[in-house]
Amino acid sequence: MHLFNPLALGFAVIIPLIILLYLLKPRRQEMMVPSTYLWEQVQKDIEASKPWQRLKKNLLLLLQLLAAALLVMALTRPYLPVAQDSARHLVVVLDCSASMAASDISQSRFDEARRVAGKMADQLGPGDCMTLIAMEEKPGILVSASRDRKEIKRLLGELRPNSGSADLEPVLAIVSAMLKNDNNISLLILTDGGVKPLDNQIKLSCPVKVELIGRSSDNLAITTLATRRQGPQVITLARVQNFSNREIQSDIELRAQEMLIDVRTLVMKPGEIRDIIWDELPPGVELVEARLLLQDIYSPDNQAWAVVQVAGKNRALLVTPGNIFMEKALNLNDALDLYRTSPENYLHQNEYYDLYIFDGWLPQQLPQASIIVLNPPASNPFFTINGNKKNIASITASADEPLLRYVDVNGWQMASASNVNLPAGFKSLLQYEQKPLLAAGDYQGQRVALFSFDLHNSNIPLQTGFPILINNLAAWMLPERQDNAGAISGDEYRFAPLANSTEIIVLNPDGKEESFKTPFPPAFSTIKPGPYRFTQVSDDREHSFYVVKNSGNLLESNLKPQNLSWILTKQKPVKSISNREFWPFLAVICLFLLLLEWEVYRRGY
Amino acid sequence: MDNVFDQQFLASLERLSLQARKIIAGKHSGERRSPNKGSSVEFADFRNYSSGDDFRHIDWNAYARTERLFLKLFMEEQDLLLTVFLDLSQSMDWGEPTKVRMAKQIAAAFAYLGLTSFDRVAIGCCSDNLQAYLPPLRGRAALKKVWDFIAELPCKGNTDLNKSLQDFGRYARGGGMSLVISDFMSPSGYEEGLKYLQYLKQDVVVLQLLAPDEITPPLNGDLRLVDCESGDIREVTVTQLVLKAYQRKLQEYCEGIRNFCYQRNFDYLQLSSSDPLEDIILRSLPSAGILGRR
Repeated sequence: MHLFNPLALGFAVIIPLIILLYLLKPRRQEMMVPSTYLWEQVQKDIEASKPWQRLKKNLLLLLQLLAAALLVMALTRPYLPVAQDSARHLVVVLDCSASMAASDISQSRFDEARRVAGKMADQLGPGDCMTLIAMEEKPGILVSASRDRKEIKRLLGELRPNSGSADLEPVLAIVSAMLKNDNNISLLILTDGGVKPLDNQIKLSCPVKVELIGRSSDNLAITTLATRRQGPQVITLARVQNFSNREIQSDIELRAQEMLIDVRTLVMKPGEIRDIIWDELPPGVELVEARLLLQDIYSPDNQAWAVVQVAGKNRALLVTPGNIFMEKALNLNDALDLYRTSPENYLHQNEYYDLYIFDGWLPQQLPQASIIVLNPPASNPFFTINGNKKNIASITASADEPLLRYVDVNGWQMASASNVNLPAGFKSLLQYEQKPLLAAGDYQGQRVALFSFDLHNSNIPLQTGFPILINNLAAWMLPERQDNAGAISGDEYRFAPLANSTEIIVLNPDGKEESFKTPFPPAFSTIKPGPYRFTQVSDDREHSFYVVKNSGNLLESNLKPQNLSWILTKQKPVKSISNREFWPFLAVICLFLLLLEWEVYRRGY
Repeated sequence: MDNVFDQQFLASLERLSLQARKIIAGKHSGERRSPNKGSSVEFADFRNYSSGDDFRHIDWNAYARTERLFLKLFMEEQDLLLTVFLDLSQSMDWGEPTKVRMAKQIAAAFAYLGLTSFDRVAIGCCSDNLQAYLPPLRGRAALKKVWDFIAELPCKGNTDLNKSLQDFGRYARGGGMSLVISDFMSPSGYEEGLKYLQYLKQDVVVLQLLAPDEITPPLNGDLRLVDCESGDIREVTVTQLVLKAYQRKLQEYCEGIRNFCYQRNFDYLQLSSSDPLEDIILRSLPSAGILGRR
């Protein structure tokens, strides 16, 4: 045993002081009594049983001496050098995916994981620290290399499982990056193993422990609920999967706008997947809900919602002196009603359109809607043009750009293109010698795509990728209609509001309404599973549509704890010597002794 | 004393009488049965006539039947000598109300009972020895003298019951009833004195009088206890445990007195100075068999 503060031994002087106090006679108060005859006998009695009474009398002294000695010992801060099995920097990864809400363990898997993490925090040595990472769609570092147990426990207490999946790969990337600066890291992953498939398996050079949380896989889930319109008829499909290894029986009910339509009984074999189809729905139904009436260990996936598709089209206006290629490409989109006008007539029209295509011409004021600009004129108030380039043959496309999905730009050529300086918020999709040929972005709150060349001076309209590109652009630019709204995933929902909307009212699954005024947020929170009704209010009308978020999916509904043994390394925890102080224990014993001494004194022993 | 005994209380006393356990021979005729045969109306026995006997007591009816002379004997009613021993050591001047006040009141009540029953009453004052002694007086007329004597007795000196009671031997003439009122906090003991009273053919009644402060002392902490009689000092750290030991000791001590009295066929009663006098005289003492209904 060693002492951090040996000078505190000086406080040991209180021990002889206590003994001295016992040696001093107490100052007694004089009291007259009728007779000391019996008191004398009482004293004799007490003295007669000397060994017992002396012991009792000394008990106070003993307790006080012991308490004083312990107090002095605590003040010296004694410590014992102990070899630690765990590394000093413990990184705890807590799976916060939806499946952690399963209740096959007391309360839930998440509570168990939280308890284990709290226990690890309690076991931190004086020199140890802990990093806490919440494993979600995007990992969150809650606390980094902290020694504050209280703070760690507070953060753990605030943590809740979300409705999404857990992605292990970015977590491993974070730990891998941490290992570059700190080789004392030991990783503990608290998960049920239900993580997204990894693109790259990252091997870590630190001790890794995976604590699989969860026992059972008894779960019946609605993994899919979808509707399809066949003429006037709406067909609803529910896919139910039994993830457990025993037969499960449950009723499934279908509701349309809260109204019960049908109930069917399912007897599902282990691992069975069954599609249930309903042919008829009452007319005018916008939202359907399927519900399994079974109570299993994971209830969120016992419910699913789907939006019934209804017809509806966006309107687009092509302002051009004549562009047959663009007209043909836009007409391929069934969800679009295309109108055409000339620049001269554009100034006289006052109709509203969801998409404007300006070909070789731009008005002085841009309309409040999505816009495609083809070959902007040299003098325009919106885009700065510095000359042009000719004979462009080798076009480079931005990698992983969703707007260029399925678009093959090989062989695309053009005679000339303007050198456009892109305003802020634009991203170049196609470029030639660092100059943008096609760019897209937000311009004054509108979605705008810019072609810096004339389609007539290129071979692009004749390429197979061209109509695909125009379709991708239109899908990106056009506002969401009810007919293309449907199931969503993730905690955010993004859509392009109608151009003349002044307010968006969101009705959440819990029945709470939230109102948003312009400027609208880029994304709307959709954390809770269930139906969300978005109502766009403009001056003269309201336009509503539903989107739904369902919990059931193959990853989260499969509750069987998945083995992650591939992640384990052969690294052994670094044995380090740490000085384990134990003065708090001494202080607690001292406090206990003082309480005991007080009780002994109170009882008069 | 008059203010202590109001008329109603005295009227209640009138209905009480002293109960002597033994039939004790008195000196004068009185209201109490005597071991001697006498002239009361209560028939006792027959015996043969012998010369010199009073002719008036011959049973002529028996002579008519048997032609033998028989004398008819009747119970003689004689008086009782009641001696009240009052402990007037300084320890008796303690408590609220003081023990001595209660002791004097009880003594006065017994004196009243005795004198109104044509018994003789003597008073002895005990402390270091028999400090004062009022010889036996008889008749209601002596009541004032007895009460005045009791009232004027001062508290002084230590308690030595043995010595005090043995001093009584100088005055004792024949049997009687002795009432000892004391706290019995007598370091020298009490047994020899009480035994001596029994030897003197006294029917002994022991009344132990304690103050509430003695039964449950209101003491706590480090104390220097000073004996109000002797001035002896005891340094005691009074704790709950010590208090319990004291109470246990007091109980043992009182049990000792009680057992001693029962073994010797004495009456014993423990009283508290805080008890109402009426309760003691009209309830406690009659229920202990020390006083009886007329």
